[in-house]
Amino acid sequence: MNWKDWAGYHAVVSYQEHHEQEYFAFRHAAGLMDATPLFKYEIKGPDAVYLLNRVMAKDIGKLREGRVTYCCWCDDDGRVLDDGTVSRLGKEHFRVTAAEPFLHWFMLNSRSLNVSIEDITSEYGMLALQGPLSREIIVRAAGEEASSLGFFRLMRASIAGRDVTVTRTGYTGDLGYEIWCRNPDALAIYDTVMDFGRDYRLMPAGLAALDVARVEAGFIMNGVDYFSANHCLTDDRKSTPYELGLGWSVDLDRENFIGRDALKREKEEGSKWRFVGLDIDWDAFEAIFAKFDLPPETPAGAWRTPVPVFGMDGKQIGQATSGAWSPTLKKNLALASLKTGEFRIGDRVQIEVTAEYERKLCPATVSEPMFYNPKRKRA
Amino acid sequence: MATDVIVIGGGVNGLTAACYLAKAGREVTLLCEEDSIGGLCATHEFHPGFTSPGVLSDTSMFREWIVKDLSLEEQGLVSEGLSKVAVLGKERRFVLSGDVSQTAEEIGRVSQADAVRYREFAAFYERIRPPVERLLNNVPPNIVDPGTGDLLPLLRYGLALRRLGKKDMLEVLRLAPMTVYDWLDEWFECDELKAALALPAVTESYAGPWSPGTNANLLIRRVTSGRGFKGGATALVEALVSAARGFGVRFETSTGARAIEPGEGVETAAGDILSAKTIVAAFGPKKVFLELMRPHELSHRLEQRIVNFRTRGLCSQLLLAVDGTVSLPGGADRALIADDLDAIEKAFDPVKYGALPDSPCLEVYIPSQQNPGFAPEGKTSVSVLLHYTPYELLGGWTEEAREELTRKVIRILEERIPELRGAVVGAQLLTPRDIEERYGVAGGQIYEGEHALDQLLVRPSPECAMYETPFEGLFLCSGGSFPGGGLTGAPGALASRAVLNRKSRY
Repeated sequence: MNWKDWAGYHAVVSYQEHHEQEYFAFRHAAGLMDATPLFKYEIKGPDAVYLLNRVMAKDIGKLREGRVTYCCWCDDDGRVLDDGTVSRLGKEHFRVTAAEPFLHWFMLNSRSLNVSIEDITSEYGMLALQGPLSREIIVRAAGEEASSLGFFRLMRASIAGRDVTVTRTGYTGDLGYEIWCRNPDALAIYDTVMDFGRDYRLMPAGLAALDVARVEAGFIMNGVDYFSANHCLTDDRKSTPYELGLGWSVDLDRENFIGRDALKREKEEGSKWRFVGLDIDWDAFEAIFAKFDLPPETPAGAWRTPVPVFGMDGKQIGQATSGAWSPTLKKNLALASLKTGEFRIGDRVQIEVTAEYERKLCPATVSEPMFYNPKRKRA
Repeated sequence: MATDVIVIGGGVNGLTAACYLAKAGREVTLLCEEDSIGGLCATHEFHPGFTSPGVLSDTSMFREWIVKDLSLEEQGLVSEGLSKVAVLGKERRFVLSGDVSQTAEEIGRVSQADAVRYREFAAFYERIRPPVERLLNNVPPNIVDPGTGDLLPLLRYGLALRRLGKKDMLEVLRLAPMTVYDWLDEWFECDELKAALALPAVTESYAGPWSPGTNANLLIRRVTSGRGFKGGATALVEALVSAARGFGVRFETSTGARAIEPGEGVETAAGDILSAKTIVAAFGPKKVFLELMRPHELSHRLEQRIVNFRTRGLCSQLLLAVDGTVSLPGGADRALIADDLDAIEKAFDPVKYGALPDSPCLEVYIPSQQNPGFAPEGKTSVSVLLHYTPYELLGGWTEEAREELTRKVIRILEERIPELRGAVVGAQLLTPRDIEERYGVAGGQIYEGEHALDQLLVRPSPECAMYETPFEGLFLCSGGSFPGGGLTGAPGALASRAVLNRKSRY
């Protein structure tokens, strides 16, 4: 079992020597992952919508009760601070998740508003139940009603006699659910879900398996594929929603929100960067290593050490920020930010590969950043 | 209702801006409740038959060039000659005035050395006046986002400074960040004199004489002080109102402003919409951005800057109805009670912790001397500014706390002004909280923002430092803009210049 620090919590990287089995559980059966360290905030009160609409790039007023949405929030210059989900639990009751602490930001922006903001990170646990068989398991654990829970919907349920919120959300790009509960209830809920899951080969899964899955799904990660504007020393390091492929989540045609003017300008003038997927040419990759009489070396898990990406003419056009060998797709994948105007989807580019301490360039094909997207995810 | 420009707020700056804009041919509506005309020098009856002059009363810093530009003399405004301030020490008393020889002579009665030094002191400020005046009477230098066009004025400031000669130039550069304590200590020996020179300069900010940067305020005071007007602030406001009417300003005095819609107009407290492409707000920046606009309209950055713009009011006003007449030494209508610089510092110390000083420093003003109508025949209206008093008093501003403070101040006054003994028949205390409520100034800060070094040139925030705001057609012109608060008219005049320079855009 391997552990690592996740926001101050000990989090499991893998329950076994290697995460491959846990990964295959996500893709062929189901995996259960403790995602408690995610930052969680409860926002309540008559001005809750007003606050969220001021902070979020998305129009939260349009989010109906019982639904969840994915969105990001920006600084005044339209640079992304973080991304996460917003669940509407009631008319004036929301739950926001974040990769980083944001209580202060929400508080600062709620001056004179009738709203309460509570950091529930350490009071609430979250279990991610993800994989093609997760529906069967959640139905047995939480009741028949869960079978019809739609994509990005939420329901209140009871597991092991404890109140939970179940959302049909996840970070693996497959069918999946997230179970939100109070900390003291978490253990009983975990055991119950595990018990029901045994018939479906449910496995405890760790972060390493998740990381491979999220690269296949093309999900960005704060601190890896982009950096929160709060932490960037230079403006160049910051990213906008459009540059991260989150343009679809920005609602410009509404009252002012933080970053709106800058985002409007960017939409008119065009973005500097574009977030893409790279499918690294396997034969060429193999050949690079063969020259040194070596078998092709793909990292054992997902990688997140950025490497430069070049055009076919050798000019650098961007960087790949994370990647993984996809055991399901049998492809060597990467997620990258490339300069707009320097490429088109389908183009061939070159990614830096190190073989026997030597830097080499390996051809890759640019694609939309979504390699794995089964119909059942939404169905 | 539609008009070119709406000026909201009828204080001296609002009136000044309205005059300039109307004079330039704009159709101007001034929106302000009737009883708020005059802003911080709006009068009110505080005791039957006794009128308060408002919380700001010193007109000596109102700019002469504005009087000329707006022909205020034609409206009956008369310079009063040089104002006199009596210094009421425990034993020593003398009168300061704008007349240097007269003042030196007075000081000579308590210290021959200081009399000589005072002439040099006054001459020094006279010499350095030109560059400082140039700075304070123009739109502030653009140090936020300077373009090539902004370099010329900066160069001119530099040249004007250089023209002072090396000695004076170095002295100007040295003195601004100093504490007023150290600076005055270099010049004088008489405690009462030092305290009297320092008090008006330190009470504009959250500062005592030991606070760095306070000397900049003394510099500004000395350089911009002029003659003042007969009839005081009331006469000034009347002249501005009648000038405004003459220029064609329309007064909408039945209601105030409830909300600003930049580029569209103003929603009145009565619920009507007044349309105008240009809005000139003669309210402090906190009121404009944090009360009259909704949070989402502001960028996060602007909101935080305005929240952080310091507006801590530390001064209370005690209004006294006095049976009988009160005369101050030398026929002065103002008096200062602060025995030495340490007494001021000690009066400042406790307010940091929410407490009241044992012995507040006092600025006394007798308006009924200038405005006989302010008190019934044979009686006197007295306004006293108390330094320092906290906005949030530990235990709250209860009736007992207010009464105790009132008694304390009356006791000090009776000691120094014998005519007041047993003659006070009515009193009204306005704490910083009351001042905030009555005059609509954030924190009860009567300069619409503390005069601290960091809040003087870039005032109130970088994006609004040149009167324009990030909102199309919305301009600021209160004391919360350059060159600051007090009855100077300068923010109003300079803001109107910014509006007129932008005419191509609106």
